[in-house]
Amino acid sequence: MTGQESQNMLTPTNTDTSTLQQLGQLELPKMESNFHSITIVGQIEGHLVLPPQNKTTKYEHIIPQLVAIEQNPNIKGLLIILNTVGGDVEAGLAIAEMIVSMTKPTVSLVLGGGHSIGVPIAVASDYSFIAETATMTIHPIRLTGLVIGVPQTYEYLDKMQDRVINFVIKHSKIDEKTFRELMFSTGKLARDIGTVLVGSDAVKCGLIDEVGGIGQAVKKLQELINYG
Amino acid sequence: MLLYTSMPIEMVLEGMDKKYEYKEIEIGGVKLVIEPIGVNQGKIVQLLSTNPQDFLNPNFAPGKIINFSAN
Repeated sequence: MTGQESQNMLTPTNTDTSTLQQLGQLELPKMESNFHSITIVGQIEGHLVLPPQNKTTKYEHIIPQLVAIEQNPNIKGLLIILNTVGGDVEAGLAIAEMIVSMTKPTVSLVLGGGHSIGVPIAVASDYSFIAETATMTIHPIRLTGLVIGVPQTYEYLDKMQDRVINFVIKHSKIDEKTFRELMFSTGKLARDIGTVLVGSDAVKCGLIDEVGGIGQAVKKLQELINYG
Repeated sequence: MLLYTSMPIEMVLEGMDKKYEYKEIEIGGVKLVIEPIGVNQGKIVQLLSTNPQDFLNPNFAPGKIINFSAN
C-alpha cells in the first residue's frame, strides 16, 4: 500500500470509511428504484410543533414530497409505510387526500401500528397491507386541553369525526355501521371507548385489503406499476 | 388544532411551553429554517422551497444537522 492510499483510507471525507463509521456498513449498493417510499412514523405533526420527545412526521414536508412524486416522470409509484400513533386531524386528512388523488399507483403497509388518524392514511392508497402483528386503534376523537369546552365544541368534534369516518368508508370496504360500531364500542380498550384491530381483524372487517409484509407490498406495487 | 392520537395527551404535550429559536438560512439557493445548535451548525426544521423535487433531497430532510457559513 502506498502512502497516498493509506492516507485516503484514514481521511474521514472518504465516503467508504464515513459510511463504515456512521452506518457500520462498507458500501451502500447503488440501485435506481422506480418507486419511492414514504415512512410515516410517530405523531403526525400539523399546525403545532410538538415537543422533542415526540417522534414526528411533518406534514409540511410530506405534502411537497407527494407533489414531487406525482410530478417526477422517473417515479412510477409510491409505497407508504405506517407506524404511527396518530396526530393532527387536519394534517392527517390532508396527507390522506393527497395520496387518494395521486394518479400513480400507491400501496400502503401498516407495520407496528396505524392508529387514530393513521387509519385514513392507511386506506387512502390503491391497495393496503397490514402486518400480521400490527394493530390499528379506532376510537372517537377526544376532547383535549386544546379545545375550548363550549357546546359548539361538541358539534365541531362531531363534524371532525364525521370527516374521518366518511373518508374511511369512502376509501375502504368497511361500511359506516361497522366502522361506527368499532369506534364506539365499550369494554375492548382498558381506559377508552373504541377497538384495537390486530392484523387479520382489520382485513376481516374490510378496512385493509390484505395481511402481508414488505415482500407482498413491493410485489403488489410493481404489479400495479406494470399492469395498472 | 385537534389531535387524534392513541397516545396519552399529557405525554404528547409535555414540554410544550419550551421556547425555540429558529433562524432562516439559504444554502444553494434553497431557504431553510434551522434551529442553531452551535457555531455555523444547525438542525433543519423546515424547508422553504417551491420546487417539490427539493423535498426529495435527503440532505434537506427535517432533523438533519447541517454546517453553513454565517454571513
